[in-house]
Order: sequence, then structure tokens, then C-alpha cells
Amino acid sequence: MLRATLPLLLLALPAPAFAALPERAPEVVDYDIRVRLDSNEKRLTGRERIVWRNPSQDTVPDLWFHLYLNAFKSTRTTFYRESGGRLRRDDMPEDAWGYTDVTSLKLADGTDLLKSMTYEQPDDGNGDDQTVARVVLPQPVPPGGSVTLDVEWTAQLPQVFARTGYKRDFFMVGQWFPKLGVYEPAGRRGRSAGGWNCHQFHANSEFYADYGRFRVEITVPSRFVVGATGARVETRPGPDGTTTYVHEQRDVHDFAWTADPKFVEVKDTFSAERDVTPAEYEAAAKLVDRPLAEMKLRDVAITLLIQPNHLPQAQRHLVAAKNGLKWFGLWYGRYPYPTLTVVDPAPGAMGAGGMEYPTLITAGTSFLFNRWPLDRLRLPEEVTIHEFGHQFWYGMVGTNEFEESWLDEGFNTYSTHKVDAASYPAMMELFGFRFFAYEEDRLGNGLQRRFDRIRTPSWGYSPGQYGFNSYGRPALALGTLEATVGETAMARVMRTYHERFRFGHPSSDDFYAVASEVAGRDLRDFFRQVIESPGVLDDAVIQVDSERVSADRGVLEGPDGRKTVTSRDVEKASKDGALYRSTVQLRRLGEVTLPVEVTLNFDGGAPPEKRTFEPGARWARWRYERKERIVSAAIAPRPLDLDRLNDTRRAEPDARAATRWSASLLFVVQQAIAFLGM
Amino acid sequence: MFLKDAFGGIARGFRKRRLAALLWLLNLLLALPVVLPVAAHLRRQLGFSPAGDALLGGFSASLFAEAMRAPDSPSRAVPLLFVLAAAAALLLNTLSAGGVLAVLQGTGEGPLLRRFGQGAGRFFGRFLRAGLTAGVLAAVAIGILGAAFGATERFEDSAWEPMRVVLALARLAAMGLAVVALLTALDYARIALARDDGTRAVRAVFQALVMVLRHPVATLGAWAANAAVLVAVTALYAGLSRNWTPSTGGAILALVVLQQLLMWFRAMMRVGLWATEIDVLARLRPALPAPVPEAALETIAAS
Repeated sequence: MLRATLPLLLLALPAPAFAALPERAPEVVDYDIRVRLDSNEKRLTGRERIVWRNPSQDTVPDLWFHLYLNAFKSTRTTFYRESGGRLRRDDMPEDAWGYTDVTSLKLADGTDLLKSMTYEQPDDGNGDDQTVARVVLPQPVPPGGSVTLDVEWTAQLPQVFARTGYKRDFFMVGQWFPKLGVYEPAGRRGRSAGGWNCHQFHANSEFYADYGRFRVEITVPSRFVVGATGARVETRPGPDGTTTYVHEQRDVHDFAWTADPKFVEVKDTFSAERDVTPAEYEAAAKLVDRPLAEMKLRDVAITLLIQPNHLPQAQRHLVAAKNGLKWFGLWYGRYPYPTLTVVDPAPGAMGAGGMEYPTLITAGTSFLFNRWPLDRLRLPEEVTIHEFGHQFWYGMVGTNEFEESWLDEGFNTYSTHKVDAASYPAMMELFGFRFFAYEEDRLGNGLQRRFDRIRTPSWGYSPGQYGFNSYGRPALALGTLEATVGETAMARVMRTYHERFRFGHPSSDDFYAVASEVAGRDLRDFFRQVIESPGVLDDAVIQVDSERVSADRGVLEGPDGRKTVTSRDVEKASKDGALYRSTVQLRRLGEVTLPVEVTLNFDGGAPPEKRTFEPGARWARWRYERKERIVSAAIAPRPLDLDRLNDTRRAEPDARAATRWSASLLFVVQQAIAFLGM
Repeated sequence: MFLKDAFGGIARGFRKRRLAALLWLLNLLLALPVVLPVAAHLRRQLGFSPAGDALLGGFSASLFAEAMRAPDSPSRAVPLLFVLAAAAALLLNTLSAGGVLAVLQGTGEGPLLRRFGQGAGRFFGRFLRAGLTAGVLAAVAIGILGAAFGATERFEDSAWEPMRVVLALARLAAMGLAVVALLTALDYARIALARDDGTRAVRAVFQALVMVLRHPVATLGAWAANAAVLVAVTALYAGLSRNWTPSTGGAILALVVLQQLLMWFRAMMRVGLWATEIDVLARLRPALPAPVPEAALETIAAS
């Protein structure tokens, strides 16, 4: 699977010049959409003109579409079968189905294509799943050519539980229009031949589409407050108590919108001058090794659509959004769009929360976080920063979320930890209990994780393993990569990767190549073991001790003749400087065997010694004979290591930590028993 | 009035420090079998690991989880041990109630331990029947409340966001009130059985429950006052814990001593509650005078 996409000779060359941030995406597909919302029937009526431009050297005979809403059509769909009607912690409401009916499909010249439309099931052959449709064109599209289609459809929105739908008068409208898949030319993402990449909608999958321009006219009853991808270019009151909002955005691969009469609109601006200090620009430029001029961010108009009873948290959302704009922009590349919309879903609609669309994100919070003590839980900030981060990993670097979910979720989890750490002292501070980055990831990192590779299609993980293998485990892996190559090199890897693949569709192999190139070392084995193979990393120090070296005693024959050496003689001699034999033993308890530095500490003020636990070895034993005794040994910390406690070991035990927490545990158990009357 | 009863009882509880110490010891002996395997495991995991010293600076859920995930961890046995300890606690509670009441009501002779033991043995059967009766009543109450709560589920899906929290709190309060009322009734039933040397345990529980429902302020108020003091002390301890991270041997020892002093204090509060309840029962349902002996009656008749 892993291939050297870049010649390794590059490693021998001086560090490459950076590529300036692309300002424009390739315009592969344009959507001009008009949609009307029937808020009583929860239904959309839409029409769109699609212009698709063939990005390949192939002559393409057909078009493949996503009809995502059909995932909610019945219990027979692939989504329902795989999820059992439950996503994250939300259950599908009874009898609140959703679907898309394509009512007209024509070429611009009026040629009817609807009759030739078929539903396809490229992943599991489930004939009842209608989330992918295919149309054979009467004339294939030549390389570089284009085709224009007019599509009409109606969409019944489901009651929201899996990202999209309604709850009472709240609407979160995502994946709502017939959307083309991605035609991948030969060579992209390792393809040997060009073809459509258009997967069914699975319980654990997200999305993948091509870049282009969107112009969308949204007609809703006038009482609704509307937010959408892109900038609002026009507002037109209608004669029937409706209003039409027109939004446009280019250089994106998706479009979503929301409507709720209860939204309170709060506007703010991220200012590249005011919200970022000169020192921060300089520090970031030095970190990622880019000219200062390249670091300049742009002003962004932020719109927060928040529920009325969450208004006390408005500033928290805005500050979090600004922190995201600043740090993601400084480290990876400026956010290129003029707008950002942050949406707070209605009560009971949390299934729509925690989601990302180009220039529009959904957060989600609770009135409980309005005030003390739960206002110390920075959950609104965490979700806002994370979802904003997806503008970079998924939005601008358009990875295939079906096949390589770790490239957006794992990258974003890793990035979010760093932005959180730069923005806040801790993400949770409650009654003295603090929760830092990687805590949640580590909590999920156990032996049961040895059965899946990180790089697996999202529907291919073993049951219950998609979440951790897409989010936490890759974040720990990237943190371990950072520990391996160093913080500065890692920052430059991530920056270069973003620059090179902004508005592109990279694969894991593309990232591996960039990482090796920028870090200046061959990292193929690292990725092979950590991303491409199942197995856990767990190196342990299992022995650290010293014993005094005894000199020989008795009647000894030597070159100077016979000599009798007694115990008293030996003791007297040892006072002049005893020798100690120290032993350190290491073992690899997991499958992953990566080289790692081990620090050995000796007493008597001796400087620490560093050695390498070599890759491939399952164990190592090091022995020393010297005047100093060994005090401790420590394996260099790596977030992916399953067990930090066995990464370090000391020769003499210290019972303080165990006693302290055993006593507290005793106290808790005593309280529980006292509660039972004793 | 109930406050006067409550604080009077608490004062008596503080005077019965040795009795409270006995209860504290029993509590400790029940808890130790649950905690000792974990303590031994933590010593093995953290003792030789400098990385574990991070726990001296405060709790880390992930470090603790890593310690408990180690191959020879007792994490699977601990829940079972806790359940066994809980069952033992309920049984021991029945015994100790008899012992405490014997000491507080001044029955029996001899040193504290002897009086405690005599009371524990003498009343065990009756108190056990009373406890089982209260348990059945609690199960019935929870079942009825559960059915009532089921009827409110449809209100959870409300446009008013706090509704779900309000319903949850209301359910918790209702359940809590029912359990507290039954436990308080059980206390009064046991006091009455001990005071009057009664044998009809089931009847005693029902009579006590009626008394609690008829005099909620006097009966539950005393419990509430006692609970309020405990909550205040616990909050103080929580506040101290937040700002104090003992890391030296001396500081850790001080923490252990403080924690056990708090448990002893809790035992004193429990004894104090018993004392309060004895006084309340005496006021609400005075003991019947002892029957006049036959010989005395004849003398009175003759005179």
C-alpha cells in the first residue's frame, strides 16, 4: 500500500522552497441552485444547473451522483443497517424518514436523462440503498470538456439525528442536493486508472466532493433567520410571505444552510491586525520558516446564529472562532474566505451539532454552561475550534472522508489540541480537576485497539472502532510523529502539506512523502507500523537496579605469588571507591517497534546517558560497571505509547502517589458504605 | 422545634465518641477489603514509576486508567468486592442499629462493647424483619414512581431546553424523598421496637411510616438538619482538596488522618441522628407506662 511517491533522492537535497498558498481552487463543478423550503411539510423543492468539467485525460461516459438523504429513507438502507438507527448518541426518531426524489434530469439542450438513471451500490451491493445514482451520457465528455445538466428534485428532510434535518422549526440543511461524486484521474490518490469515486452513505462515513462555485437562492418563510455557506449577495422579499436569500461562494466543494425563526444573529469581525499581534506573526513565521509577508491573515466576517437562551455564551463562541482563525491560519495558511458562520442548533437537535461545512460550522451547547460552575467546562469552545479546524482538514485539503477518515478527523483532532493549548490553560477546570489535550485520546487507547489499521475505509473498521481510529488514535500518532521529528519540523511538515494540497485531494501516501521530505529522514517505516498496520505501541522499562561489585577473596595465586585476601581487606579497599554493576532491561510489549531514545540517570551528580532502543529488537539489556549507581531510566515520551507508567522506572520505590490515591479511594468507598447506613 | 431536636441530638452524638469510634471502625473494616487489592496494585504500578509521580500534583484520569489497565489489575474484581461489601454493610447496619440503640437507651450492663454486642444480638431478628419490610416498601414506591415518571417522558422533548433537566431533578427529588422517608421510618420502627421491646416488626414499620407522613417536619426535618451539616463539612473538605495537593509523606499522612477524622465525625453525626430520633419518638409517641404488678394492685384494692 505504501509507495514512495517522491523519489527519496529528494531527502538528500536542500530543503525545498515553499509553495505559496494557492488562492483559487480548480473549478471542476459549478452549482446554481434554487430551493424553496416548505416549513410545514419539512420539504425542499429544488432545481439546479450543474456544470461539470472533466479534469482528466479520460473520455468520461457517465456521471455519478450522491443522493445522501436517501440514507434516511427506510430501514433497508445501508446507513440504517449499519447504524441500527443510531449515530453518535442520537437515535433516529420514529417515522421521520428522509429522502430525495429526482423529478427531472436533463442536459442543457433538453435531452432527458432521467429514464437512464440507475441506483448503484458499489460498496455492499445492497439493492435497497439509493444513495448513489448513475447516469449514462448520450455523448461522453472528452478530456478537458464539460457537460451542463438541469436537475429538479424534491427532498423530504428527516427529523434530525444524523447531521441534517429538522426539529420543530429548526432546519439544518446539509447534503441536500444531488451532488456529483469525484472523478479521479489516473495518478491521483494512487489510482492506476481514472474513475468515479462515489461511495454509498455509510453509518460511519462522511463526504467527498470536488471544488467549484456555488450560487444558491434559498426561499423560506420570512419569519426565518437564515445562515448559509458563503457571502449573502442579495435578499429579496417575495409576494407570498417568503424571503429569498442568495449566497455565493467559490473554491468550495459543498454548500449547507440553516434556518430557524429563533436564531439570534450576533456579528463580529476577525481582524488580521487587531486579533493577531506582531510577535505572534513573527513567532509563527519562524516556526514554519516562511516569510512574514506570507503569514498575513485576512479579515473575516463572523456570524453567530445562537439560540436565545444560550446568549450568555455568545462571546465564548466568537472568541473560540477567532482563536481558530488565528492559530490555524498562522500555522497552516490563512483562511481564504471572507465569511464564517457558526450555528447553535435548537434544543433537541444536537444531532445537527458538531459538524462542518465550507464556511459554516455547527457547534452545540447547553444552557447549563451559561453559569457557574459548568461554565468552567470549555465544551462550546472545544467544538467550535474543532469544527472550524475542519475548514482546513476536509474543507481546503479535500481528503476522501469515506476512504481515509483519519486524514481529516485525526489531523483535525491533533491540530485542535494544539490550538486549545495555545488558547486556553485547560479545556476543563472544575473543582480543581483539569483536563488537557490528549487526555480523552489516551483514555481510549487500550489493548483492544490492536485489531484495526488506522488507514481503513470508514465502514471497514471492526465494530465500535471507527471513532477512536479516526480521531484519537491518529492524533496520538501525529503527536508521536512530532515527538520523533521535533516540534519545529512537525510544524513545517503540516504547513507544507497544507500548502501543497490546498484545494486538492491528497491521500495518505502524499502526506507520508511530504513528512519524509520536510523532516529530512525516511519515515516510511514509521507510517508503515503506525498507520498502515494494526498493533499497539508499548515499550517498557522492566528492570533498573544496581549491585555492588564484589572483589575476589580467598587464597589467590597471581603473578606476584600467593596472596590471601580476606573480607576485611575487601571492605577496606571498597571504601576507596566501590564499583556498581547496574542493569537496565527494556521490552517491547506491543507490536510497534520504533527507535526511541532512553535516558539513563545515575547518582553522584553524573550526567545522564542517552541510548537508543533500536527498532526491530523486542528487548534490550544494558549493563554498566561504574562508581555511580543507576537511579532511573526513562523512555522518551510518545503520546501513542499505551502505558506511560512503564516508560520510566526507578531503582528505589516511592510509595507516595500510590498511598495518596489509595487513601482517597478508601475515603470514597467509606462514604459509599456509610450511605448504606454503615 | 426540629432544629432544637436535631442539634440536641448532634451534641449527644459528640458525647458518645467511643460509640462513634466503634461505628467508624466497622465502616473501615468493610471498606478495606474493597480497597486493599487496588492499593497493592497501585503500589506495584506507581511505586517504581517516576511517571506516576504526576499523580502527586493532582488526579489524571488517563494515568489512573493506564494503571488500572495493566495486566494484573484488580479492576474486574473491585465491583464484585464492592457489591459484597455493600451487602455486608446492610447486614451489619441491622446489627449495629441494635447495638447503638442499646447504648443510647441505656439498656444492658457492663462496658460499651458488651452493651453494644448484647443489643446487636437481642434485636437482630426483629430489626432484620423491619429492614426487609422497608426494603419491600421501597421497591413498591420506586415502582409506582417509575410508572408515574414514564407518563412524563413525553414532556422531555420540549422546545423549552431546561425541561429535561427539570424533569430529571424532579424525579431525583421524588425518589430521594421516598427513600429518605422510608429509611427514616425504619429508624423510628427500630427505636420503637427497642424501646418497647416489641416483637411485631412489620407493624412497627407501618406505624412509623404513618408517623413520618403525619409529622414530616419533625421527623424529616431532623434528618435534613443532620444532612445539611454533613453536606457543609463535605463541601469544606472539597474546597480544601481543590487547593491542597499533598505530595510529601507528612502531608499525605495528614490527609489520611483528616479523611478518617471526617469519617469519625460522620459516625458521630449518625449516632446524633439516632439520639434525635429517640427524643422525637418520645415526644410524638410516648412509651406506654409499664403495667402495674398484680401484688401492687391487690395492695391498692386492700387499702
